[in-house]
Amino acid sequence: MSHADLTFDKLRAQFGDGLQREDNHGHVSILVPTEQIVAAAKLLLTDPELAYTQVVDITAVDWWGRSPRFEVVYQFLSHPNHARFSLRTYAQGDPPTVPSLTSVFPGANWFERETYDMFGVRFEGHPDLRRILMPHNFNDHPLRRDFPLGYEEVAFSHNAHEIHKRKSFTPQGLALAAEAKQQNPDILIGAQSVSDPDYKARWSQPIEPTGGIRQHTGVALEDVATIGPMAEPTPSEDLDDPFSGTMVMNIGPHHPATHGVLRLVTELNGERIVRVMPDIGFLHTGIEKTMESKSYLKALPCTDRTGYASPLHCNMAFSGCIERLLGLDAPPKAQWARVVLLELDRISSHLLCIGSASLDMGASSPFLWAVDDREQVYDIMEFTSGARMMTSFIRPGGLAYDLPQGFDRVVRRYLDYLPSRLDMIEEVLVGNPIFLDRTQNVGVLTKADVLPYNVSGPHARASGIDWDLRRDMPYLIYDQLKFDVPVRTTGDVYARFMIRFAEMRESLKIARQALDGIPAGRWMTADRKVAPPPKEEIAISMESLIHHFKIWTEGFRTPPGQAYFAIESPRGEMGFFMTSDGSAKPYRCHERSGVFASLQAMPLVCKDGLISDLIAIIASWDPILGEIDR
Amino acid sequence: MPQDFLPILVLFIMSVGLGILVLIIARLFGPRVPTRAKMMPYESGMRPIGQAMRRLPIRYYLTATLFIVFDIEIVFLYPWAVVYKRMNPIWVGLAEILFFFVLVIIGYVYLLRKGALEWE
Amino acid sequence: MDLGLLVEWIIKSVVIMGVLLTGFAYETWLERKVVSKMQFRIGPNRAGPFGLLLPLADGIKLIFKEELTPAMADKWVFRIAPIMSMVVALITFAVIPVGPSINLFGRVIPLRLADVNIGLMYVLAVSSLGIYGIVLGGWSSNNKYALLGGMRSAAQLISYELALGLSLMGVVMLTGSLSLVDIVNAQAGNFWNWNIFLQPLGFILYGICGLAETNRAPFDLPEAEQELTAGYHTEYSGMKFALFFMAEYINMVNVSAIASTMFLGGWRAPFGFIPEWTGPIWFFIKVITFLFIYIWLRATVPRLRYDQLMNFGWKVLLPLAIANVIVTAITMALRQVYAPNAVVTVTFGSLLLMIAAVFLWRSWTSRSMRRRPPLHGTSAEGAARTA
Repeated sequence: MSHADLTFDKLRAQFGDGLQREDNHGHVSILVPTEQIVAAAKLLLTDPELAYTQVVDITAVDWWGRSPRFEVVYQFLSHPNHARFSLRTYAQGDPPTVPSLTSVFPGANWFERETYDMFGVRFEGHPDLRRILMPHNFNDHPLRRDFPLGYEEVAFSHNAHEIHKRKSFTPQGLALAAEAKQQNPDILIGAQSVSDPDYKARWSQPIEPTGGIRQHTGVALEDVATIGPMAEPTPSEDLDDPFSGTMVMNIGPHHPATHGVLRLVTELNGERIVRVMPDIGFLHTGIEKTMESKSYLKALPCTDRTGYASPLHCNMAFSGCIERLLGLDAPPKAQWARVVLLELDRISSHLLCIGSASLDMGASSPFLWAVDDREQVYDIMEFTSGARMMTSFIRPGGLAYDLPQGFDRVVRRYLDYLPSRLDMIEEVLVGNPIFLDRTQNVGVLTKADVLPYNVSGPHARASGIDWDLRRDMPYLIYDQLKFDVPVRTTGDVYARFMIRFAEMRESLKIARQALDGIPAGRWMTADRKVAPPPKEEIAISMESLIHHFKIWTEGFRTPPGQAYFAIESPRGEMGFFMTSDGSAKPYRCHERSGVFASLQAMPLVCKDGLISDLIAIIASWDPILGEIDR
Repeated sequence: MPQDFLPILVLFIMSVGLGILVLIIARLFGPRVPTRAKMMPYESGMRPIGQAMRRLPIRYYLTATLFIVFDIEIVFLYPWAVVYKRMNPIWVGLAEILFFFVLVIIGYVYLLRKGALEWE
Repeated sequence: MDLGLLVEWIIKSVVIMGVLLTGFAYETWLERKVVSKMQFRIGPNRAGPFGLLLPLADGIKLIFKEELTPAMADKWVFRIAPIMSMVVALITFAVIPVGPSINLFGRVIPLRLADVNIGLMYVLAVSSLGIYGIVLGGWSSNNKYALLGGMRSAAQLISYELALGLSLMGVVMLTGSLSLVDIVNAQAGNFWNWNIFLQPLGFILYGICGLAETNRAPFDLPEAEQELTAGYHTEYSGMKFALFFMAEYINMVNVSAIASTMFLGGWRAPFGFIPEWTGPIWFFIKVITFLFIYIWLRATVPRLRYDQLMNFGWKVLLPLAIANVIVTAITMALRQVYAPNAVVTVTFGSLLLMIAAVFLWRSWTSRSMRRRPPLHGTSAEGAARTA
């Protein structure tokens, strides 16, 4: 009896025989009545036999036109039993509401906020149900199926002010939108490119700066555009009181140390951090919405653009999810080659993390050394796929092309070259007492907080959680390779860096084994419904021509159903959840990024540190905002 | 001698002149197109939350106070250091300074014990 | 006072300003070039041969940049602060002798602007004025990063000022004069007469404090770009920024020059038989060596944290500097009474102290500096879950 069967039986014993079980390509899910979802989750967590320790993903599917409309999907992961399980429930009422899981799993927090933001599903009992990715004054839920894919004006500093006024979520914009709607009922709200003849005249005039020291900043600059989401900070003392003990400061989005556009609203007492409130969404591009409007193959390049520091892992998670929907396995050659490429990708991502971390701590040389080594990974990628960064090389069903001649030699040369360089970088950092003092015992994430706060990957292993999806729930051919999973127990910034150094060395080992094992054969599945036939076949086979035409016009179809597929990315568990309605486009495509989930644990460890500690912690967290904001 | 400082005065005047000249040149050549967003104090591209000119934590003032105490001690030490070599007998100078340092060290230990030098 | 003297002062001032400003410009070039080599890069190579015209291009670019004054800034303080920084940096150099007196047009011209009898006091007093420029610049910007940068800077500079003042005291005691000319003359002859051999600990302390005083890595907290974007000069642009930049680099030259003067014999050649007129060359070589070490450190070490910085200044450097003064005093007394000619005693005492300091430092770092309690306690429910 599989663990999923056991789980099903236990749930049925508790909640009656009415539960519906759905098996989809190994993805077992159960539809639970809305009011029982918290109790069911609690059972999954607390039952010693089940022990589903983490809710790794929460998202919703909008069944537009059906009632009830919103289906909320929870993915559970049991670390002791190496098993996954999924619960589903329907959000009832208007506004659609489900009970929040935050009382059972604190790490559900951000996922529920995201679901609220994107679908308008309210989570009852959530401590902090605010928008997370969209601007706080946005007034729609973009991942609903009836939300239009529309034109959006690009805001630059010279016209941001004007555009902001026109945006549908500001009062001015709403008024304009209402006016425009009256004149033309068909107009899209997002597409009001109001032509304003006074525009240039008004904005070329210089504005006299307002003077005076004691004037209140907020009032004098009242109408300066605030682009992007804004957390409503609720600090412990009055912000505008110059005599209050604490000061609230924005660190990010435009800050050298936040690795992109992460915004941390930081409450400071001198240099000491009282509170950190992360605010994300500045790089939100609605990439899930975009993917849902594209055929599977055309959605693939979108995934590169999310986790741009490790694009191949995003490719892999996406392709793996589709393969699971299709019930298809990539041919052996593709699987082995994928492992080589993924491990190179992991090395490149970890090098970036460590390099930029050393730069953040003031040592500039290791950064440039790491970037130098990283460039060579890009060289290999370019040699293999033609693209350096956004390769889209791993595709559903296999690889985009065959491996080039000399791939083996090029990769082997790199694998021989890197260890000494890693030693050099490590020696410069670890051999320096200042670096040790800056990282050891700083930003300690205790083991007890890892699973509840949804932390995974290197962050979790640095805190003593011995868990690696490559070993514990193997995908591809990882079960045939020999490698160690480095684990450290201290959970501080230092441990997070050391884990990455150790993982790079393991990756070298894995890549070497996989390189030795690449078999001959096809690089792409022979299933003509998924993979386009080779050119020479088209000339002689009518079916091939039809397949070719179908794949490049409509795209391939997947059978209806849901699947969740997760891999071990350099920043924790990266998963894709996909719902297919049987068409050639994903009906719902959700990217579960490891660092999105683990970022919610960061405020915990920043508390009582200094600004310098915060910088080191951010660096050790390795946030890639493309992956977080999507 | 006070007149020894006259050349320094010359250099001082010329340096100040240079500083002002540089700012005037920059003002003449540089464009000036202030906009509101540009004039906003930089806080990572966001609108600043509250004022920057505000009450500061007491720690900084404590540091300044400690500095004044110790710096005055150094000022006392310099005249002694200049004449120490020529003191006769030199034991007198040594005894003086050892006594002085005992006082300083008592103060230092007091600060240490009181936690005034804890920056945590 | 004759007119000739005034002309001489003006010419010398112009030369000092010219040399320091050119030196500043080429210091930035040197820094980029050296750091780039250390990082396997090429570095500046576009403007002129080896990128030698790059500082010029930078200067021209900065002149044509827009200068911003933030909306709520205290305008006059905002303008005055960079000038203050730069002026202080320039006039510090006035008392440093760069060579012997030379005969030119029938005049005896000493290669220094002024020889004041309290030269060292002047240097210390003037260089600590530089804090004002930084603090006022940070405060007047009405910017939180700048404010924090200014505060960090104030705390850091005054903390290291103490150890800096004490670290030079050993030299003053040995020389018996505050005049920099006297100090250089006392080190005449061969290189073993240099003070570095009598005051090795003082030299090291001064080197560290000098780094901190000039806000250079690893003490570049006031302008830590990854923490406070640019620290105290976040809001400064164009030539106002250039003035701050200038002040920082000229201060580096000043610190290097003072270290050479106090510990490495100033303009004196390493051997007595080398003619005196080569003095400025030796001085230049010594200063460049220090600057190279500055740049080297910048390419190598990470930045300290604020509390570590303050701990280091108050709990390590200050006691060490005090101990150095005491040990020097005792050994000098011993030498005078028992062995008037044994130079070795002073060196010996200083070295002994250094070794003791290293041992103390190691035990102290292992006990105190790394003894930070975990920042976050275990949450009870989390513990129950994973148990």
